[in-house]
Amino acid sequence: MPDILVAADEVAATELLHDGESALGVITDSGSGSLGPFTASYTASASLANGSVDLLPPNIIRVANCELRFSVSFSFSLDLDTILPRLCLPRICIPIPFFDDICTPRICIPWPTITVSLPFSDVVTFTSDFTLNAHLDGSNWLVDVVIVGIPSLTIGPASAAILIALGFAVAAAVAWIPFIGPFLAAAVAAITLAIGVAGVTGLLGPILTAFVSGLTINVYTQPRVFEILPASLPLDPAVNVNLDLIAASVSRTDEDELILTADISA
Amino acid sequence: MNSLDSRYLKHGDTFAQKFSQPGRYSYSFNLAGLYPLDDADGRFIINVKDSNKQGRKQHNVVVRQQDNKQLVAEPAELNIEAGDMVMWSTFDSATPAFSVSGNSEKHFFDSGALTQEALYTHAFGTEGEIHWGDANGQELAGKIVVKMPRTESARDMKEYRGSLSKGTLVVISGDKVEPTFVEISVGQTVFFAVEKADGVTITDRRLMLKMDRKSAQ
Repeated sequence: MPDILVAADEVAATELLHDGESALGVITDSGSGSLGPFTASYTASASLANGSVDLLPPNIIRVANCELRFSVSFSFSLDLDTILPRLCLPRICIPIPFFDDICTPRICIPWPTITVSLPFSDVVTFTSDFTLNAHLDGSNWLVDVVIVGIPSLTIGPASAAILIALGFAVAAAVAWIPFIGPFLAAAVAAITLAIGVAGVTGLLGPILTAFVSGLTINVYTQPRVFEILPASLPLDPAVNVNLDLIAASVSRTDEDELILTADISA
Repeated sequence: MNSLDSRYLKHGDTFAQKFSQPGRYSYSFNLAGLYPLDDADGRFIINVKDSNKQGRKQHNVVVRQQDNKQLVAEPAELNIEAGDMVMWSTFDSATPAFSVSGNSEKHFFDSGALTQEALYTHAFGTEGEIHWGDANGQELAGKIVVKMPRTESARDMKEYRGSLSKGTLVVISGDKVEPTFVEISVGQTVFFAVEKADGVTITDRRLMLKMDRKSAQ
């Protein structure tokens, strides 16, 4: 029989989860990966919000509709010469008043390499199972919920939106290039087609998955030495108890509850 | 920038000069923003010999940057006949903007101050309205409207590509410009033929304003 027992129902557990999400703050990451045929560098940040807790005995906390709010900024270079057809202004000959026929040379226009940057923010929701992990960390007992497996993130809509935004970003990045005007639509189409939703998903998926893979949210922290009576006189010191062991579990009594038990010593 | 300015020849531009008088012309290239080099640097040669021949010939000189430094002409020396034209152009978009100027004992030519029987061509790479004038102060003026062509279908694109081989001629004689208004598509080329003038340029007026502001500062 434990010395102390604390119970939290699903409503209280949801509050603990939201406090844990807030404490987790913003997680950041950066790196590079394949964006279709291109290599993109990225910086990304994400935070968790909302979600409701469903307690499943004996030891599963299911968090439903948890929001992963993310911002990602892609940047990639592309050599337009490899995408667009070569444009050569043909030799033009015309008579001028003081010469019979003067001809310009054929002039080929090289397409430059451009850099496309795209910031994008969105929210994906997921449902995932977490397990409880109560452990001593230095002088504190921590109760964490730790994600079980890797949740499936529905990023198709976000990827499609990114691809559309990429089209606009490409159009803006190439608009300044002389002679490209008549080929602009073809350039944007060729680039977005080469990347495709699959290309965006291929990059975005691992970035977002990294944020939730191994996700640990601290829902409860308690100092190991627990003061139960403060000092009142010089000869009457504070009374402390040691929390020797804390355990966490999901139990069913009259309702499903998150149970914390503690063994103490003086 | 794909700007209209005969003082600064770039990829997509050409400058041509008719050599009606015989002589030995030495010339050099001046990089934009720099003072002209002195005559000793005129190390490219055009030998013009007298001729009564009827057919006149065009000679082409390619300008390129050597070792990321000076500009060189290929060929460096030309032998032509009076009445022939020489056209300078560059095929490398990395070549810095330049002008061409030279002289013989009695005559001179300068792409930065077009006097007679000179030609400047410019391929327009972006759409818009360009009001041009003479940066050297003559009362010359013209307007060029560059429109985006229809390229919605393969047929449109074919027609557009075909239209690129059609040049538009603007003739400048004294202070007269004919025509003063030209409408073309992106990618098309305008030929500015200077029959006789007092050292003029063909310059986008926006660039002239920028220069004026810079001088005022």
